[in-house]
Amino acid sequence: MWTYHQIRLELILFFRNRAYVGLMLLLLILMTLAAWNTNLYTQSKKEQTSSQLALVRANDARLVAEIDSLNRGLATYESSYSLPTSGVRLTYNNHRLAWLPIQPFSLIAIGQGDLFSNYKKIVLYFDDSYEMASEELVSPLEQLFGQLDLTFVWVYLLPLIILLMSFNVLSIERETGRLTLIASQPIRLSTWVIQKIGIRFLTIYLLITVFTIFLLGFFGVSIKSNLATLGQLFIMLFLYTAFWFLLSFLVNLCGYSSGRSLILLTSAWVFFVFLVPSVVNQLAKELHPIPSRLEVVNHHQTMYNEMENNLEAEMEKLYQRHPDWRSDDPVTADLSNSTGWNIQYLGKQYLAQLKHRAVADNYESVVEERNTWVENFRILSPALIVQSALVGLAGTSSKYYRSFLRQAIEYADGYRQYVFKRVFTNHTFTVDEVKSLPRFEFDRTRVNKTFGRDFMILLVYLFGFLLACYALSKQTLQIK
Amino acid sequence: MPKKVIHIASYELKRYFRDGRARSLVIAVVFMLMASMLLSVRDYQLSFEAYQNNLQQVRLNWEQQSEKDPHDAAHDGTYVIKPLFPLAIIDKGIQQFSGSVVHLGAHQRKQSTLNEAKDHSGIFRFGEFTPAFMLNYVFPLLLIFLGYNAFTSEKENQTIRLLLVQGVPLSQIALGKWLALFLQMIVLWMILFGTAAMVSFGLGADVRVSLSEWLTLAGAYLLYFIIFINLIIWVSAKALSSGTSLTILLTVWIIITLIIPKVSTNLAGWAYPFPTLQTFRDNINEDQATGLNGHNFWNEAAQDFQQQVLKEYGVEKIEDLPVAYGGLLLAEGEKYESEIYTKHFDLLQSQYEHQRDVYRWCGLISPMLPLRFVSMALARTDYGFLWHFEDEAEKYRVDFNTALNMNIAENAKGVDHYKAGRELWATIPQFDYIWQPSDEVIEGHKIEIGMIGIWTFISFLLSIMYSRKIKVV
Repeated sequence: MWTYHQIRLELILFFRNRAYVGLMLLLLILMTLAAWNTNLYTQSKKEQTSSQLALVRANDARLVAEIDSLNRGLATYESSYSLPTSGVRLTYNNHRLAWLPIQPFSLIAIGQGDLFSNYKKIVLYFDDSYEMASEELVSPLEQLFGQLDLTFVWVYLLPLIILLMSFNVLSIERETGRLTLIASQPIRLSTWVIQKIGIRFLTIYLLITVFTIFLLGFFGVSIKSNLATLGQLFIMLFLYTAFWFLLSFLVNLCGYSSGRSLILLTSAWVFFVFLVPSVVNQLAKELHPIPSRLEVVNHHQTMYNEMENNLEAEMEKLYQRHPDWRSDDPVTADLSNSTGWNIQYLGKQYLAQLKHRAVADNYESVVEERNTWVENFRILSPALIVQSALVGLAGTSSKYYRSFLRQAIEYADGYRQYVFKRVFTNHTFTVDEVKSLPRFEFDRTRVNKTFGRDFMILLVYLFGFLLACYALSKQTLQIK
Repeated sequence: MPKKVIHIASYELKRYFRDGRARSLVIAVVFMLMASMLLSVRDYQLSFEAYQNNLQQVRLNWEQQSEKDPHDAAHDGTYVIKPLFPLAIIDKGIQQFSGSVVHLGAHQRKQSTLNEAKDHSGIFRFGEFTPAFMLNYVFPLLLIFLGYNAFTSEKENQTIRLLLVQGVPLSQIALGKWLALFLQMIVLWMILFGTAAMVSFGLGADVRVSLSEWLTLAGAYLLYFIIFINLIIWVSAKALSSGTSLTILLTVWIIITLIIPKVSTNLAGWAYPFPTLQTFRDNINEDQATGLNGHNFWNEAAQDFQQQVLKEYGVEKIEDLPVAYGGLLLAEGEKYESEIYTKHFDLLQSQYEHQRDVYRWCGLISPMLPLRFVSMALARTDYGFLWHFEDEAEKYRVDFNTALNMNIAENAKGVDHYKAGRELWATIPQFDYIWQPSDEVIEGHKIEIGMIGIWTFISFLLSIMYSRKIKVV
């Protein structure tokens, strides 16, 4: 049995080791830097979105004020291009915005946030169905090297710190000749090794969880209202930390020298953190090749040309498809007038999009299929499982962003249907109509949650390791 | 070279060859290196084929447009596609993050788009199985595994004393051990770069890699590995046990390859942030507000231009001009707008240059940073290439728009709703990107190359000098 005296002694030895204390300090420094950086990043994302929202609101407010002035007879407009009640004005001066709210736990992972922006401008005059992307000015070097965030520290660096702290728990005693001395003490060798590893595990786990709570609080994340997410985060960290300690324990049981144990453990780290993901990526490329996105763009252009070459018939088809868009107003057919020109222009964009839609959708479903295939392979590496779970909790995963873009495109479709009916019939927009234009709402529930599955896979890993440790300890923890 | 050094090196090599663990590690890494090279070559060939097909399709789409106002055609625009340089088989750099095409239209300069990384799941960010990944991360790790106990094993077995009593100076022991590691490394290096050089000739690319580019790239990686060998010998000489040596070396590896590149990125972005897109656009709009715009006939700048045109043609009214004034205004407006865009993109570029200085400073702690910059630059997969390509595309965009707008000026006089057809589209020349010459690329990275050289020199001095002061008793 463990005694208070033994545990106290182990703790004293552990905290007197300058290398261990140094590694723990390094971990805390890196966690602080990561949280600080993520907080800065998140703030800048919030500012980007709010400046875009402010722009939309300001444009809408100006339009409402101008319509109001026109209705009161305080202003006159010579051209329909600038007339506030015209569809032309709404088309070109008042875009919409789809935006992805920042999740409360975004502090733990920047994830794919450096690739995608959290907003998408929705315009009527541009076909954006093929560009499942959003724009911001980002240095691609930042994207290549990636951002320092807590997930990077936990997924990449924490295992290395764990390995450096535990690789020679048994071998160092053997190499210094102290093992026989320990074996002569009234303690089972297996108990003693578990005790040593257990103390390291609990110290590291407590350190990261307590410090995480401190960082979350410090950077203004409400812990009280997000207890479930915090619980999920701590469960993941517990399982991941336990995985690496168990792996270290297993290698210790093999009875190799300190150097060999560390090489084995580092190789395991390289395998799980680097090789498995890069090989899975490569396999995905080979087995699920995706054509160049430019082919999709080219297809759109080809459809646009086809439609333009047969414009009259195509426009007729459009009106057959949407009879309520047809108007008897001669202005709508007059191409020398901005209203007529705009209707034809929007019609051309819309028609090309209709012809192109199947190819664009097919491309996106091929991408989804490939990504799902890749994601399924995360079971090959606990690092992948934990990374996927943490970016999911932070709301910065590819799934989140792609779901947001899909929802934004759906919203754009709906918005077009709503406005085009009015624009095509030269409708006079009122203040109330401008104020009640459809708004975008991100539906978080449409993002698939994988936490339960990730949890189960990690449990299976741990159970397998525990069995292996048990079997190996029976064989090797005998002093010869 | 003293005979004793050769003896020690040959003994060390024998020790490595007899060590099953070292053999397995070397075989595994060579296998992975070659596999990554083959996959990268295949990837390049597929991308090159797609590039050529897309290039043809883009041109076909341009030429097969219906009859329309040439300025409408300019608005619809066309695409230019980034070409691939053969050295991209070694280092893909920012290729997957920077977008592969630029849309060229009227009035606006756009950034590259169709960023491939966005189509991947988060697993993609763990890294790709490419030669650069193997060379930057795995190869140094192999060197550490092979050499971490170069001195410590002698200390642990007390054999270092035997060597000393035989009259071998410590510096020669260190040199011998250094040489043994170096010889192993250089064989692998030659296999890899030899294969890469041979394969690159069979890629069918439309551009050849110059000898200076090959030598600089291979030389930079060689020095990078030598830096690791120097650090390994130094740490092994200083450490008291093999375990400690390996622990220190792994920590150094983590700092050099994982922590510093990320921290430097954060520092660069924090010290010299890019403006938000909205601010960037607002600044451009502000500059454009009072200037020429092809669609605005009435502002002061347009009035000045009108006077200038009338004077040039020696007439008093627009109606008396022999050309369509609208076309002239569009062409001139395009040039003006492009100047504004160039000014703001140059500001963005200078912000990146400041960021690059931060990366250079951080390169004093991590030799991987200068190496990566040199490697990506030579592979034409760096930010410098992106800027060069986009700048060239912008020059082409202005010419492209000028040709279309001048066609209006020359043909639209007195014609209602002038339209041009396929004859005009076919006369617009295709974009012909001219690669930045290799000496310019190398010249632009002389600081990084110098830093790799300094790292090599200082670490070599440290490893040899320190090994003379080892405590063996």
